[in-house]
Amino acid sequence: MCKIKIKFILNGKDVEVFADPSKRLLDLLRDECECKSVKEGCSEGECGACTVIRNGEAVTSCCVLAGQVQGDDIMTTEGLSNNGVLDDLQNAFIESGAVQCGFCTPGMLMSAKALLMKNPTPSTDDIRRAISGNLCRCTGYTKIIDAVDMYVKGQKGGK
Amino acid sequence: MKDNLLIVGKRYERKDAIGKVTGSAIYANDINFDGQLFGGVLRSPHAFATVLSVDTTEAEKIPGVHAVMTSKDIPGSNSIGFVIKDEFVLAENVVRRIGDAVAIVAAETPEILNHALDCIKVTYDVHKPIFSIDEAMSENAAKIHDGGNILMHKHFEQGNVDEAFAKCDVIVENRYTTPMLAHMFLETEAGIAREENGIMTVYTGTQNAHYYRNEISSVLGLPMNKVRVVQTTTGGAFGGKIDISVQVHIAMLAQKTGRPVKMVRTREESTLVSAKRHPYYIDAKTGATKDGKVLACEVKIVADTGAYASCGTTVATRAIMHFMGPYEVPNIRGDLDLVYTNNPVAGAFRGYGVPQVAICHEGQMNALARKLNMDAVEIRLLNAHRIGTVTSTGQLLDDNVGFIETLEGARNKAKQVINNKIIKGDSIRRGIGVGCMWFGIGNTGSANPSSAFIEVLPDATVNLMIGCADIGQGSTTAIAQIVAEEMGLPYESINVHTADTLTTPEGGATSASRQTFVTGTAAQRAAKQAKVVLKKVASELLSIEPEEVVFKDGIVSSITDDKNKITYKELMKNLVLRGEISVGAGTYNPVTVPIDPKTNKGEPYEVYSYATAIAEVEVNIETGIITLINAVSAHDVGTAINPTMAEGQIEGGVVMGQGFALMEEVEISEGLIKNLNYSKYLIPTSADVPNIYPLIIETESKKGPYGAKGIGEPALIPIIPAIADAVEDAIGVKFNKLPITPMDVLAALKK
Repeated sequence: MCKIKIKFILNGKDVEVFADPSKRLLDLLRDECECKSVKEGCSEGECGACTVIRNGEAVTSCCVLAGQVQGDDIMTTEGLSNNGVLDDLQNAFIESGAVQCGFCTPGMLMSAKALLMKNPTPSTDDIRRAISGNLCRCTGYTKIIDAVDMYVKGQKGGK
Repeated sequence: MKDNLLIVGKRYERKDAIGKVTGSAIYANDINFDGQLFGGVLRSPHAFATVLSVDTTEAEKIPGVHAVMTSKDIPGSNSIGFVIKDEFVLAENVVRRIGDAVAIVAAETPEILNHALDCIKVTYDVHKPIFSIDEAMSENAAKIHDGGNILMHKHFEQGNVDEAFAKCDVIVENRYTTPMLAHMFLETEAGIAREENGIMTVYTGTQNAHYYRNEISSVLGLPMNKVRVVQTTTGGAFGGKIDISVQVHIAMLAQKTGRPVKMVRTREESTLVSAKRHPYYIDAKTGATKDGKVLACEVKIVADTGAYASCGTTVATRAIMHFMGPYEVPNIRGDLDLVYTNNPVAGAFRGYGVPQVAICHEGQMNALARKLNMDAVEIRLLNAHRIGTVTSTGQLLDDNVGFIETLEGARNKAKQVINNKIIKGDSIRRGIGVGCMWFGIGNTGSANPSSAFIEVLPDATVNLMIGCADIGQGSTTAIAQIVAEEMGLPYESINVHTADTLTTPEGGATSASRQTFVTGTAAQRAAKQAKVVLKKVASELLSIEPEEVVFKDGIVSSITDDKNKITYKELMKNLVLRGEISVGAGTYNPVTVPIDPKTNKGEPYEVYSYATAIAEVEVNIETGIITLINAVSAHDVGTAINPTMAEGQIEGGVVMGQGFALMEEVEISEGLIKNLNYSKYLIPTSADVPNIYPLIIETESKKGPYGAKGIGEPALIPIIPAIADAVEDAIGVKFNKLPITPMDVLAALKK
């Protein structure tokens, strides 16, 4: 197994990992970078539980190889809160009751965040579309959509 | 109605929410221990075969392999099973389905593990497998288990069914077929085991840590208190994390190697071997007067439980208690055969047989309404359970029956939110449908106790210890609210420790929609016990009688003079000074009367939840695609301890029900599941979900904590028959086989 130096930005900080480039980004983040928020649900890019933001785009990290993220900007749910202070999007998830078993939650947050980075005022349909690659078996999605909507309205209201 | 309550009924934030939105919640696969090994299972590729030999010598020679175990290496018992212990931990002489565990391995890396599994040589004498119920039930069929292939026959009868049918003005007869379904919880089964301080400790996702402890103890030959099962945050379960999955195997490997052993199922392995929803085939006959009063109903059910019982017998028992629906039907007859085959195992899945029979009783009710040209809600109102109803088992429902309120509530809401039947374009047909259900809370006529420990600390905060496993539905939060209300302390001051067999007492399974009701009551009782000493000390400080002491919102005061008060903190200081400690233990076992097999009389459940759903669909007659537009789902929950969480259950239930009605089915070919992953087994996404209008109906009751019943499984059920009814309303075709796919629609319209 050959290992190479992989340099990228993780949650705003420069990181350098010596790792097998054929490792999945999912494993790189979980095993080498202590980002346990990144969950494995299917290993084939279908469930969205391992979603992270890569250069502004939501991607399923089980379908990206470690060697491919050289120089990239990666964000995981660990990067949402700042020194223990939750991001407003996280608070909206809590207030709306968007969390049940929680296994899909980090991936949902990443897909929603990627949408908001591109479009700060998405419609409900935009939100539905943005999280349609993230499966949830508990909530029926309603309160997750409500949460993102609540966040958008809160931001508009100058919160 | 519940105005006097400060904390119960309020939308508190979940206790586990911050961990889950920050990604810091620990699921089993997130735990790694130094020196851990990776465990894996060699599984049978055959559905039915005699195991002639298992040769592990090559595998054992591989460097990095630390243990290879077969049935010969089991220290204790080699049989497990939630109800009937009919399953091997590791196959002895026979495999009965594709995926039966034959050998297990622990190795340094996943790569070495997989290589070792490949090197184990098993020779089988392959038999002709039995995949159909008819074949399994035929006289000359090979026996899958020694006792024969009919695992259970249930007969339930009241009144005089034949005579009653002769008096009916209308009779409807249909055969309903429901699919095998997969739970498809997002987190696959996982666990890690190691010995800690002489105790075999297993961290894993589960619905029932104490049951897992008992099985591990039995298989490893250890006393129960030398085994500890700790529930990790559990990524969905829905009945699929009741049976043992990885836990016994990792404990065996950890015991043998002396090293931590971790096992995580791939999605494919999870779907291949976890228990599924039983497919039911139901022949139903229902008769009524011309005014719509139902006089008689009869069902014949056959259910395929696959190679092992799992929870099949108790699923069947529940189904036979519910097949007449939430209606007063004086003459009923039900027969159910539960059959072993070499198909995948079926067991517990949200609703536990009730969704299957609800599809039938609601299909029949809707058929009667059409035949009699009656309104679907009106015919139900005429026959509905109400206060004073005596059920088929002779149980008097003397309070806590909110079925009629759900019917009326759903109808009113539907009027507000559903447009008149607008037909959009030439290809689109719209339809509206109704579905209902009732659901007994807790196990059917059998003991299912729970318990709780509580300690009030010197600073007036509380530690609550409950065995109840929160699987995402929110029991930890709901029970904290119950205890906060009972103690008169803020919600934030209640810390809950759950599902750890070393430190929390027995909680029973998180199943049968029972935890709020059963553990909630046990926890409330523990709180009441902890209050005894608080009352005594407070009464002395306030110079009143103990029964005059009121605890509310952190203040301890006199019931007659609210100015005569002290803070909780002051009270606790006094307790410390006096050398008193405030602790409590509570237990609760629902009050039931087992069904007498001769008379069929009894009280199988202490309380029942009721629900009504109204669905609106659009059917595209060119493509066959059915779109669920609106879903109203009204639920009598007794008391909603936390309305946000109750709504969350209803919304999630509606969407899972939408999958059941329109999308999902496990596809099996020769005993092998073909759609093992999300790319083949489709579940609803955010793009599929309708507008959902959850409606919470509350009723008054002295039973349960503050009158709460249960919602977890009821949430799923009524929308399924409502969708089928709406499709019939749209295109005039009654589908009795679910799911209703676009191909089914097109084929039916061609006829």
